[in-house]
Amino acid sequence: MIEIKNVSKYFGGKRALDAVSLALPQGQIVGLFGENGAGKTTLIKCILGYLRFSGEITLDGAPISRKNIARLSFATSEHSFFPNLDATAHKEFYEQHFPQFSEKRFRGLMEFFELPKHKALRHFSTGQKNQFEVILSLCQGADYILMDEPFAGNDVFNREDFYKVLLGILEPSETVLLSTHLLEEVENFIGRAILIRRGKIVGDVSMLELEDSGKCLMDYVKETYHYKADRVSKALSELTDEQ
Amino acid sequence: MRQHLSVLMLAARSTIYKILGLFAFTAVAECALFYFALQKTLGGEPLALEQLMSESRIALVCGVSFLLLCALLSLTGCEIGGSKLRYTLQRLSVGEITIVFWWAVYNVACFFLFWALHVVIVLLLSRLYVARMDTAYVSGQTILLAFYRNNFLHSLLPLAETSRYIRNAIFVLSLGISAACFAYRQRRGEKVFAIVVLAMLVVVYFSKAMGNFGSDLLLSLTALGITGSAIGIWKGRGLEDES
Repeated sequence: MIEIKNVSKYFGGKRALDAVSLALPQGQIVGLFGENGAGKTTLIKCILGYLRFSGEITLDGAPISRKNIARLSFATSEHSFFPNLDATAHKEFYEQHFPQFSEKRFRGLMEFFELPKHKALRHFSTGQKNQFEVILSLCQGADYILMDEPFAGNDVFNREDFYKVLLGILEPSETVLLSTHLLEEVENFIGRAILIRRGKIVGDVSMLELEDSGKCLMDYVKETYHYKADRVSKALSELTDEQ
Repeated sequence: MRQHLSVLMLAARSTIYKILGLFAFTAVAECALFYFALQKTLGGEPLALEQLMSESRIALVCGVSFLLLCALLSLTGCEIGGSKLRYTLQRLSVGEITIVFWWAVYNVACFFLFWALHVVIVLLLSRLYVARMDTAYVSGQTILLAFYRNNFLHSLLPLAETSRYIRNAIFVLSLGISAACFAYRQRRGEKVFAIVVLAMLVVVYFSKAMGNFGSDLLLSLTALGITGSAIGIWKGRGLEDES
C-alpha cells in the first residue's frame, strides 16, 4: 500500500500541495481528477520522489527509494523514454533494470498498437509516443502504475481501446493511479475517484458508492466543486444586456 | 554489472553511428584536402611536409569536427528531444551519478579515439607525401622533422615532450567529464557551459610550439578548473544523487 501522510509542497511561496493524506491499496484503478494546476502532477511526482516535499510517503511502510522504486512505474504525457533509441533497444534496457519486466506483455501491446520496433522513438507520432510510454509503464512489472495525462494527443477511439486493454491485462495485484481530465471517458474503468483542488484532496469516493447513490462521476465532481450550472447563462445574459 | 554496462550502452547506442559518420567524414575530408594540396605541389613549387599540412587546412577541419563531436556528446542525455529522461534515469537500479560516470567514461573513449584517428591520418598522409615526392626533397628524417616544426602536428603527437602528452590527456579527461556533466545539469534545468568554454579553449590553444612547458601547465590547470566548475565543486554542492 502507498500511504501519503500530510504531504505539502511549495514552489517558491506558492503552495502546490496542502497536507495531502491518502492511501492507495494494491489492486485498485484510481482516477485522480482536478483542474489545471490543482496539484495532480505534483502529487504523482512527490510519490515517485522527483520532488522534495514535507510529510511522509511510504510503500508498504518503507520510504520510497531506489530499493523499492521498481515497484512503481510512471507514464507521462511529457514522456520519459530515450528519443534516439528504438522500441527493441528500450525493451533490452528495461529488462536489465526492471527484473520483473514482462516481455510477453510488451510484445502483445506492441503488436496490438502496431508500433514499429526498429524506428527511433523521436520519429513516432505523438499518439504513438503516448502509447509507447504507457506500454513501458505497464510492462515494468510494477505493482503501482502512475499515469499522468497519458493520452493527451490520442484520438478517442485509441483511448477507448486502451482502457479496454488495460482492464483486460491488469493483474489483481496491480494498482493504477490515473490522472486525467477525461472524467466521463474513464468513469467506467476506474474503481475509485479522488478529487484534488488547489493542492487539497476535496473528494475521495468509490464508484460503487456513487452507483449506490444514483449519481454519475460528473455529478459528484460538480457537487464537490460547488459548480453553478447557471453561471454560463448568467454571464451570457449580462454580456448581451451590455451590448 | 550488467546494469552498469547497459547504461554505458545507452550512450553508445544513441551516438555511435553519428560519431562513426563524423569520423569517416572528417577522415575523407582531410585526406581529400591533403591529396589536392599534394597534387598541386607536385605540379608546381615543392612544399615541405609541414607546410603542406598547413596549406591543406587539416587543422581547420579537425577543429570543426572536434566541435561537432563535443556537441554530439554533450547533447546525449539532454532533455531536448521532447522527453524528460530524468524520470527514467532516476528510477533505474543504478544511481544517476553512476550514469554520469559511465557516460563520462564513454565520452573520454570517444575523445581519445578522435585523437588517435588524427594521429593515424596525419601519419598516413605523411607516408603518402614521402612516397609521392621527389627523393631530392625527402629523407628518412622528413616526417620526424615535420612533427617538430609544425605546431598542430607536434601538439597531436608531441614525441618526447611529456608535458604536452599530459596536457592532451587532461584535455581528453576534462572534455569527457564536462560533456557528461553538461547533460546532467541540463536535466535539472541548470545552465553550465563548462564544456563550451573548454571546447573553445582546446580549439584556440591546442596547437602550440614545442618546449612550451609553462603554457602546457597553465592550460592543464585551466582545463581542470573548468571541469571542477562543471562538476560543481566550487559551489560546494558537487553532484548530488537525488533518488
